[in-house]
Amino acid sequence: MILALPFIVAIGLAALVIYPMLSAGDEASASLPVDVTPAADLKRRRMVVYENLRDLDFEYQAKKIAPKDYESLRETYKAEAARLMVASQELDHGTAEDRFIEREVAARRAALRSKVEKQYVCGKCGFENPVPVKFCGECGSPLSKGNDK
Amino acid sequence: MRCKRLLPELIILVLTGVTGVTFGARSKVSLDQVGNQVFCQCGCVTTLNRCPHQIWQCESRAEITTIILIDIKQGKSDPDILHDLTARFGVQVLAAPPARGFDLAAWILPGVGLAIGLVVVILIVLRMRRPSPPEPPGQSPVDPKIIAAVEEEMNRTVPLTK
Amino acid sequence: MNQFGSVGLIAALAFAAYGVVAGVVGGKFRSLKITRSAERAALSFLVMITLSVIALEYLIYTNDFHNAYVATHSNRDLSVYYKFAVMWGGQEGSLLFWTWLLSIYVALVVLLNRRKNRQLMPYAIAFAMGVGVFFSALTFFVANPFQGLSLSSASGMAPFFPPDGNGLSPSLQYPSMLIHPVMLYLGLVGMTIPFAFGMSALATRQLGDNWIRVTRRWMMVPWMFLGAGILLGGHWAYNVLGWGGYWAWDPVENASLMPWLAGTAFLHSVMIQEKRGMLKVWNVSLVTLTFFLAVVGDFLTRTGIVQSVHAFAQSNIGPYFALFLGIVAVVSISLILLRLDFLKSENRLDSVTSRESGFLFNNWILLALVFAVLWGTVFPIISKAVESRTVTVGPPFFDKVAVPMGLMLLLLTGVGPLLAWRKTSFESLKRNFAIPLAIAGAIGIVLLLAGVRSLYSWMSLFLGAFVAACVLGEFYKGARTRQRSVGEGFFPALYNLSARNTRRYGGYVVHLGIVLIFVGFAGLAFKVHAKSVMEPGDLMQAGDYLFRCDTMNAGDTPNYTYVDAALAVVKDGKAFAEVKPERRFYKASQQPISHVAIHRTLASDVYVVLAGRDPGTGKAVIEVFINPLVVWVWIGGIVMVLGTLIALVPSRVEREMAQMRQAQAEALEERNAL
Repeated sequence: MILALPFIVAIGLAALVIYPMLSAGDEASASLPVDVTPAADLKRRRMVVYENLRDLDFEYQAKKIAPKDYESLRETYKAEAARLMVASQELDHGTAEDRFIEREVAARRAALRSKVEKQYVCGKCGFENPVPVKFCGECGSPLSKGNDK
Repeated sequence: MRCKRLLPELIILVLTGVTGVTFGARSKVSLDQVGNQVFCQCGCVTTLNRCPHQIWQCESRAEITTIILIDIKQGKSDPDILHDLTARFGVQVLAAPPARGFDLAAWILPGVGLAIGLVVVILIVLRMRRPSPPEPPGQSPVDPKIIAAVEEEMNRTVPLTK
Repeated sequence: MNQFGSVGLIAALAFAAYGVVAGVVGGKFRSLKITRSAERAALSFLVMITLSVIALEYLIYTNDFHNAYVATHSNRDLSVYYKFAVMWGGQEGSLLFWTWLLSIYVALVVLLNRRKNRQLMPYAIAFAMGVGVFFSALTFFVANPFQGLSLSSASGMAPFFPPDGNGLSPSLQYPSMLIHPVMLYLGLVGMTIPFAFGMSALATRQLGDNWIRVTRRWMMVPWMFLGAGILLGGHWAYNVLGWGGYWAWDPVENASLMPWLAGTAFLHSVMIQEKRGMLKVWNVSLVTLTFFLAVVGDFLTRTGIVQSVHAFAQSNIGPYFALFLGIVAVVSISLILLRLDFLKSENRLDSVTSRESGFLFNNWILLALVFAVLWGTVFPIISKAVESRTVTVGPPFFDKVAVPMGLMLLLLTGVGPLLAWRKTSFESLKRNFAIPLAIAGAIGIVLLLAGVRSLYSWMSLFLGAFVAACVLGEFYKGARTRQRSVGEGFFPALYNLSARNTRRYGGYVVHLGIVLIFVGFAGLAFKVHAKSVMEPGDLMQAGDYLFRCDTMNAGDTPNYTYVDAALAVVKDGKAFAEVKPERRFYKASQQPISHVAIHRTLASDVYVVLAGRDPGTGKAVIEVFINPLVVWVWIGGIVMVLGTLIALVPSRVEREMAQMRQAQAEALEERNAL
């Protein structure tokens, strides 16, 4: 008699497990939200640098760090934050993340084919077009033969 | 390279670890002392001192103890007693393998592991210390406007006192 | 009830297997519904294993000796509390217990991440459930606790069932044995979760520090349990085994120490990735190694491949474990290699004298120690294979090899936190180390004058003083700085300081705990041991203490018979304590065991064992140990747990960042909705 219990529980649970698979509508086709967008990641990294800076200030005030160290470390951290901010701004200017991803992809591909001559560099703005194009992807000016270097 | 300051201490530690040197007067050989260096053979898989059985219950403990006590009475030294015990029970009676032959590996490898680890750490440090690739031109002198923005943002987020 | 439990197990196995598939598919296609389904499978896994656990407990508590496991590991007169311990008293039950704890961990992960870390979750479930498949399959097919006892009487008549069981091993019938195995298992099993997240980060290519931040607490919690479990094990050995010590470098002890050391290394090196975006490959490898060592530990212990004092039923599960370990190794190593491209460092190391390299050296010694311990533990097997003769690798080996490394670690415990990130100039070093070194030097000289001649003890105390001065200095300087800049009182400043960065200051408290433990270790060199045969009226001297045997008694209980002896302890001519060591003889298992009498003070323990009665004279064999400073090992353990708990509290900065993430996520959702 009692033996029926685990069977019933197992079947009930199996139904619950399968249920989401059968659902229709918006839920059915929804994909998992992104945990960390490139923009959020850049911002968070900047926050980490700020936190490091605050720690540095604190340790300096606690007299743990010599003035000379403090100055140079502060500059390094600030430069790091500035780089990250520039990256964030660039990201915002473009069509949000897509632009960033494009650049990343371009950089990767460029690194992969570093030996291949830079054929599609725009003569006007200097943008290295990652794929063979007739018009520059950055400024839109036509890439004539004369532009090729 | 300021870590040189720590080096002598490290060396002392490693040396003492390898040779097992201890400061102070060497005490007389005692049953307790030898009992920590041999394993009881009754199947308890532990040293003579830690064998859970009493002498009258445990033939192995009784026999080993007798040999040790007789040897101590004869004024034998620590290694001699261990030698006698090895002759009687084989090398497995020793709580640590002798440092010769293949068993030397038991003693050497931890040191080798430590050394290899050190080399790896040094290699990692050297590799990671290589200067980063030069930044793209036009970017390295950071725009003062950006620096100002950075400082502004930093002050806007959690202040030190919070 | 046997079938009840088995059905629960096989259903759990099915849910786990489904969880693996659904997790991988859901992760691959980033599908919400498939991931939901995988999450529900993980929760169902918990429910079914829990049913099995209930079934086994029911069998134990109803004294159902038709069940082979209950008949072998329990008996009628076992007290209610220890009946619960029967669950992990033998191979089959402890495997079920292990699986159950795993299912609890996984369910917690699922429940706590319903909205967070959506991309990481499906693969994390898949990997954790993969481990679940292995353990539930092993429990069901190979070491099933739900087997009937198939004894037939000699005459071939009706099957015979025993009226009583063989009883729980008497050494397990001790209060801390109710907690120690649970803690140890919570520690070892818990290492699965950081491993699953690490692998998931590789699978999803999300190799920033997101997975590290997610994993950190999932590592800290089992790490704390494992550390507490190891110390409780030592506490148990000290109180029960009667040889006056708490650590014997037994293979089983080593097996629990290794993952703890690797986990310690991980908890330190993750900080480099969080702060500086470096060591990504290393951290994934380290989390894998920690999990691997946890399973290796389980493997060594359960299969009896190395000889140990710990009595575990040996069985044929070895090859399955070997296969599982092989799969774990192949999968994790190939995933790491596949993703090497994504694991590039974001930053460079600025200087050799920096916090970063401090952590690197800490990792170096911790892992060298893991290697040394592993090597010593398996050397007898290697030697047998190569030389075909048995050697023993015991305490003298490990003491010589591990103690110097332990002292180096202790040194780094103090030095590391005082090195600044990126670089530390000589000038800064001087500022930070002058006072701690002066304090430690003074204490070192005092110790020498006081007659501390053992090098290791002296180093432990000297370095301990150094580390304590460093750590307390950190608290003091931090609080003073806040006092100046914020205008708080000293103690509010101390509190706010720790609340602002719980992890750092909790970590410092853990370091203080380590110092206290090393103080306890230092006492080992001053141990005094004496042994004598006594009857009422007899005297014995040990160190500064005089023992007088007053009375001897014998008695009987349903579960065991006992003898005890009452002794008066006199120190400096004054009555110091009364102790009453006892020796029990358990009826069901036909085994004797000593109950040690310990009089504890902060300075030293008076440890008295009634080893038995001399067969000739009937007198009591009394063994006495004077163990200085032992109490500090346990106090240090408690401090470590407290420190870890502090570190687990979210800091103010963290909460702020979490709010920021939340806001961003909401903004993103709104934008997507438009």
